[in-house]
Amino acid sequence: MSFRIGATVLIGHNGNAIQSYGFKKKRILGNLQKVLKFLDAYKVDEIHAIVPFKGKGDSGSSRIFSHLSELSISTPLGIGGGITEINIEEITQDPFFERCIFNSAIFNNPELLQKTKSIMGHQSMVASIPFIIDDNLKIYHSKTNSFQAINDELWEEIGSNFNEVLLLDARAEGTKKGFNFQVFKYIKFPIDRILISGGLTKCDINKARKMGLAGVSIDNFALHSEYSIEALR
Amino acid sequence: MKEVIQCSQCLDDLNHPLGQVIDSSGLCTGCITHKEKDLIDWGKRWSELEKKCTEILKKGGNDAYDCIIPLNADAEDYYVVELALKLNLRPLLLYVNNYFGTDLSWKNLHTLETHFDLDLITFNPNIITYKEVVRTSLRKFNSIYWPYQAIKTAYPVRLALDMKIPLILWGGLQATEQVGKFSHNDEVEMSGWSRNQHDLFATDEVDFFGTGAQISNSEQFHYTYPDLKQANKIKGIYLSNYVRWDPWRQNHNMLKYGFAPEKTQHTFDQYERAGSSVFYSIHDLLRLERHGYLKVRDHLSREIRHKRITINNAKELYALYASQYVDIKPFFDWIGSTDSGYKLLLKERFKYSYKKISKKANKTIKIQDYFISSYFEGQNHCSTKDFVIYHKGI
Repeated sequence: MSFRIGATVLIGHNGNAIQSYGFKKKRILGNLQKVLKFLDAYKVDEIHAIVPFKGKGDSGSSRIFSHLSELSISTPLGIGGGITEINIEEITQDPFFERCIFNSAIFNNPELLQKTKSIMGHQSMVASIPFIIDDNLKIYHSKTNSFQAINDELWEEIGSNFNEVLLLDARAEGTKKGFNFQVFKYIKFPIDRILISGGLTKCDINKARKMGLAGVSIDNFALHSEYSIEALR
Repeated sequence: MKEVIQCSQCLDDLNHPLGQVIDSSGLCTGCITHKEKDLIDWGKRWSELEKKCTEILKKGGNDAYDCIIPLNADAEDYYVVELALKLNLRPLLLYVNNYFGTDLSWKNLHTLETHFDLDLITFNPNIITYKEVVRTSLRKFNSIYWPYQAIKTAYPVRLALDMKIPLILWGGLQATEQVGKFSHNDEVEMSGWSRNQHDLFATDEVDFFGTGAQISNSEQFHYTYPDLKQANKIKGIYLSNYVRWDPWRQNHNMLKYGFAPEKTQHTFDQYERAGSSVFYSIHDLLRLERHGYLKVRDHLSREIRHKRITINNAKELYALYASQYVDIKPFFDWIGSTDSGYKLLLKERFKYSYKKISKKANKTIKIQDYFISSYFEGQNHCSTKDFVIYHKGI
């Protein structure tokens, strides 16, 4: 399978696209419909549309997913952030997306993962894993809004439930300081089914391609210049 | 937890049209991003800009010009030209006539052209069509600027493609400078998306001309952006990503080239959009209707960030400006509105600003005392003609 260059679009609670920097600072990007339309025109391989949950209560995801379903774009779409037992049947009734992206369910909701898999198929399952590395690898749990250590058991769960992993370097997110490839020392998941995101430079993208990763997902900078994606191919 | 909607440091709130975020400490992205200016090595950034320009020009292009500089006929243009010459570029100046320029605006435009002895192209859109598009913009979006913004951002790219000029130099990126929508480190460039989102407020040509406008397809041409793949051949750089941007200070310095500032009772900033007959009148009232604030608030927030005014003084000053009167009748005469049409629009579209609309004389606001430091000039100028018709054949 060819190396994919996708883009991550974060969606705020008011339905606007937002930018995130270092997993802390937020800035508005703009009208969601136009953001997706232009990414479509710029020919990204796929779009990861995520509603950041970050420990908050109702994130309004169902309403946002419903809005997304009305947009006409031809680029394959992955959605995530707020897929729950309550809305999974509704949003998969007439799926306008190809992939479901999960974070908190990785930790403690195998039922939801099974249910989604049974409706959408294993190929649709993507684990979103924002990470930091201090002495060791820590991965983000959106429900508790914290980074926690990961054990072998959890890697096994991820391996059996997900087709792909989207690794986000949380500290490099929104910057040009480079993706932290040290993370691969800790990863127990097939490398050809991993996408990386956060702080990516052209050099990083070439490295990811050479390593045989599935692809990359560009963060904020996808729209910071005309056809930025094209220059990365 | 209740959402914070007002910045604790400046006058901005979440209703800014360019998009504000206020963090948990109560600071808006405009204030947060402004602080980057103290951390960036601007000397290094300038070297990066020089390198970038060299790279762009290496590919070849026009024999006579290296870049296009789109103009507003205000002080910032002078500064952009100054920087372009410092970069050893050979600029071609381009002015898209929005028909809102007063005699002062034209004076400033021609002083710029003659002082720097540069070539200037003036594009005058078909005024009949233009007025119809302005009327449509007002009717559909309660704004009069969409037509100008559309041409001003599309025409330079078309001209650059036609003349094989690979670079367009813009001054400040408003989205970063006003609301900190991007980090300076993002080095955001001109793009079709950015034009749509920031200049056209997410209303593209299809949305705009879709229904209601009596404009033929061929007449829509100048309002539309080139194909994105074509547009990608031209680089558009915002200088505020490479120079520590301080509009009031840098615009004041442009007096040395003969720029004439404008005395207005609607802002203390005599430089931005000096010589516009609509920017601080009907355009500002429509901003108030749509977003709940007047342009001077952007100026005051900017000056708070530059530490030239305190927030309390800024609030006081804003209240004074908010009580000033605005006469918008000349604009309606210009677009050919009937008296009954004018009265209907006043009633329907100016709900919050209705009381501000008057021919009454304004109070003179003594502004100097409000500022810790300032860039005023004693010899301000006044426009004498609101709408100057200056185009082919007239």
